[in-house]
Formats: sequence, structure tokens, C-alpha cells
Amino acid sequence: MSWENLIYIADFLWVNGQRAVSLIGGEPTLHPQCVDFILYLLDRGFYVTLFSNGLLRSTILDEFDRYLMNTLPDHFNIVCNLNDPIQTPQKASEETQLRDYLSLMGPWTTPGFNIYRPDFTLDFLFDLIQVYGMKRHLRLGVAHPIPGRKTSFMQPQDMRHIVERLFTYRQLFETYRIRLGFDCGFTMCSFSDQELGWLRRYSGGENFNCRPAMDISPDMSLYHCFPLSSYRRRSLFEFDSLAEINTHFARMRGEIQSEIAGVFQECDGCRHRQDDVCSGGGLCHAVLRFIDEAPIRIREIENEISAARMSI
Amino acid sequence: MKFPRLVCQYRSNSFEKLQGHSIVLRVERTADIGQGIERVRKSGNSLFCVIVDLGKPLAEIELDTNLSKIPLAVMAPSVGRYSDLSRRIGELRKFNLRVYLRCGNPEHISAIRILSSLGIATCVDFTDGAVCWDGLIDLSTYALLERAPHAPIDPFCFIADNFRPVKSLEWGRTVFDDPNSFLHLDENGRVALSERCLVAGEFVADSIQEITSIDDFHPIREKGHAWRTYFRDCHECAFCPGWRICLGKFSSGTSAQGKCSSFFGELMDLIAQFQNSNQLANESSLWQL
Repeated sequence: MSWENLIYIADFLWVNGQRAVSLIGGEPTLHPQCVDFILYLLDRGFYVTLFSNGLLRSTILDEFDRYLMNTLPDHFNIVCNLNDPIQTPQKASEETQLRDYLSLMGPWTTPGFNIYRPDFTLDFLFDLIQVYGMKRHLRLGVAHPIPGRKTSFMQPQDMRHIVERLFTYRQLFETYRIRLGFDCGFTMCSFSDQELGWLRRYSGGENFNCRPAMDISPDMSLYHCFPLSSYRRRSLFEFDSLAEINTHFARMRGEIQSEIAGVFQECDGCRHRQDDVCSGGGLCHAVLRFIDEAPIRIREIENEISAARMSI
Repeated sequence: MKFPRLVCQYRSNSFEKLQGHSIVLRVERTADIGQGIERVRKSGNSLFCVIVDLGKPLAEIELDTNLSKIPLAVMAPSVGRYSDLSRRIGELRKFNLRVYLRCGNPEHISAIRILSSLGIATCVDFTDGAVCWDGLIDLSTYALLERAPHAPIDPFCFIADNFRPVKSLEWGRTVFDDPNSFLHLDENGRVALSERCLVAGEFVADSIQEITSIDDFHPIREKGHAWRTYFRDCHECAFCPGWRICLGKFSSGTSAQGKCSSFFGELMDLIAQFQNSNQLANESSLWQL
């Protein structure tokens, strides 16, 4: 990402009234000007969120220490995806890196956890949040498919099991006063009314919609979100406003969901999907099904999928 | 015509022998700024602005907060690392300053855009002749057509505001390089038409008293009419579409491969767009009235 492109994006967002920006990567801290970019966006008046794995080189950590300690945690937030040290063991050196990072940047860090297996555990997170003084808000996501690539991901039929397992930690969330926030991909019908009531009462952040993240790559390509990063990419320069981008993605979602309403058969005709309360799971699941299901009726999608098939 | 402002070095005492002039004070040490302003005021002259030329990156320049109301022209060889500059952005915004950066280096072009986007006025300094033309096209587009709020980038904004198709515009004044607006004095009070002439020792008068009227002073009048020689000599610049803005400023050959020509051609288009959009904005407000 060049300075010119960063300024273009900042200006584009600013004139469209958008005041929050996320730096996602890959791993954005590997960019040689990562700290410069963060400070610039903060100086422009944006709320900045950085997504990181927390494995920062000592030189970068020194820069964080030198330049970012005076930033307000309300203005600068780091979402750090953490892994269970037992289920996903790390090298000793990585553990040290992570602890060094959390020791320094704990108060700026929102813990994140990506569910990629049904037997996930969250116990370790409560300890880490306490010890390192992280923000008391857990960002929970599920592993999504990436159409066109062979990756492991959570199947829709596992969703109810995931929710049940998640609610075994209910008492710990309450005790430690940790709020829960969902990344996209969760379906409303996977939760009982009682569970939905608890979420409303203790978290207030239930989210069952799959909205475009509007990811922009260094070459200024624009795509719906990371799982759909190779699907119907456009250039940011083709759009004059965020409203145009929203219209573009809404049209794309409409085209896809007219073919496949959601991750479950029941999504077709579901009143919560029609009322836009729930998107019927991630759009990436629907696009993935296009790859396996033929014939494809929409030419535009078919062309994209043909391209994707080539890379499978 | 108004008498030009006089650009004087702090270390010389040339302005202390003058009365009633508008002085541009050039300083090379931060400690001299306050004292220099005081000396200009006591000398019976008025201060137009201070040129701060410390030879340090902008990120390393410390300015006294008492100077916040003084117009400052900060000549910086570079901006320095953004992380270091960031700590000072809030403070810099409080000053009445304009940052001058040379445009031979693409990093400087980026730095100008960064500063402008942060609300700090900047100016592209063409005086050393090296120019990164490709970057300048983007920068001038940003300066004139970007919708997001940003500080002016001169000379583009100056040119766009003042350019009229039927009249020549001398925009060298944005970098103190126009004898109708600025004359440069050395420590002995000798007068040069530009800083380049001052450094080269090319003086047009031994003292400012020799110049009673700008209109009657031959070297200044001559310089103002220098553009005529391009037509007399059938110079290729005289046939260039960008001539009406450039007026042959880059004819010395350093701007090879006609890049200056395409840049000024593009700038003409940008100015037309800029002026059209301003005109439309004014028309609509008149209609609403």
C-alpha cells in the first residue's frame, strides 16, 4: 500500500462520512510503514482497528512502544486472534512474542477467537484477558470457506453444536464481565430464544448479518470480504461513493441469494432473512455451493466460477 | 505598482538601514526567529513573513508557540519519518505556516500530499530545477479536484485561483521568485532579482535606494518581459500548449522528453475543471439567493 493510495482511501471514507477504518493484512504489522499508517489515520481523525496475530518482531514492538502508547484505546484498537495453546500449540518463540506483545499492548487489544473445530475451548481466553488487561469484549468468528481454495471450515450443520458449546461458557462470560460480539456467519435459528435473550442482556451485540466488509487490497481492488477475495473484484477507482459500493454489493448478494437463500434449506422463505435480521449465514457458503452445483443459471456468476474452477 | 517586499538575511543588518519597507526575514537558526522579528519591528519596517530555513527535516524543527500568529515559510529538505512528525502535527496546525519542499524526489511529492491532507499548507519548490513530473500530475489533481478537505498546495492553488486565459500569470511569487513581488538583499544591501541571482552574485543595484519605482526600473521590467524572447527566437516552448502557465520556466533543458509540456497541458485542463466547478457553485448560490 502506497501513501497515495492510503490517502485516497482516507479521503474517500472521509467524504462519505465513514470514520472507522481497519487495517487487516495478511499480517499488517509486517508492512514497513505500519506504525506510520496507523498514526496518519489517527491524525486524520479516524478510529483505527488493526488485525494482528500478536506475533510482532521486537523492532515493531519497540515502535509500538515508542509511538503508540499515547493513543487512546477508544481510538486505536487491535483485534488479536488468539489460539488455544493446547489445541493449537505454538512454538516457544511465538509464545514469548505473543506474551511480549500482550504485556505492552494488552489495554489496546480486543481478543478474538476463530472457531475452526467443533470441540473448541475458550478457557484460556479468560485467563489471558485478566492477566494482560485486554478489552472485555470477545470477537468471535467461525472459519469460513474460501471459494476456489481448499481450506477447512465449519460446516453449517455444526452451527447448533457450536452455539451449545459456546453457552457452556456463559457463566464465565458473566463472572468476568466479558461481552461477546459475533463476526459474520452465525445464523439466528441456531440460537434458542433463551440464548438470544442472554445475548441481548449481556452483550447487546448479536449479529446475524453478512454485510460487505469492503476490503481494499494494496492494488486498490475492492472485494466483499476476505473469503470472497477472489470473487467479483472491482477497483475502488470505479466508485464515486460508499453508497455506490453498497449498491454494488447489495446487487451481488441479491443475485446470489436468489439462487441460494442461505446455508440451510429453511433459509428460503425464512421471515428473519426477509426482514434482514439474519443473512442466512455467510455469502461465501452460497458461492461455494455454486462451484459444486451445475448448471449455473446466472452467466456472470458462472463466469466467475469458471475462473475459480481453473484454480481448484 | 506596489513596491516589492525585501527578502533579507537575519545575520545581515541590511534591513536596519531601511525604513517603511515590508520585510521577509530569512533565518537559519530557530533561536534567531524571535530576535529577528523584534529587530525588524524596531527598525521601522513591517514584517511580511519569516523564511525558516534550518536545513533540518520538518519532524525535527521546534518552533516557539509564541510564533503562532507570525506567517512562517518553512523550507525543509525533507519531512522526516512520519512517526516522528505525527507527534507534532497538532502543534504545527496551530501555526500560520506553509511548508516548502523540493519536487525532485517522489517522497517529497508524497509528503506534500500527506501534509495537505492533514491541514498543513504546502508549496512545491521548483527552484532547483529537478522535478518528478509524473508525481506532480497526481499531486496537482489532488490539490485542485479532491473533494475531501485539505490545505492548499501551491503553486497549483494560486495558479488555479488567479489564472485568466488572456493574461500571463507570474506564479514564481509563491516561492519568492518574482521581482515584482520580492527583491533579495545581501548583507551589504545589494539587490538581486531572485535568490538564485543572489547566490550567483548577480546584482541589479547596489542599494534599494537606487530603485525609486518598479515600473521605471529597467532590470525588473526586462525580466517581466522576458517571455517575449521565446517568440522572437521561435523557441519550442512558445509552441507548447502549457506555455500560458509555464512561460518558459523550464526551458533550460533539465525537463527532458517534453514531460514539463504534458504536465502543464494537464494542469491547464485541471484549472479549467476547477474554475468551471467553482463557477457552477457560484451560479447555484446566486440562483438560491
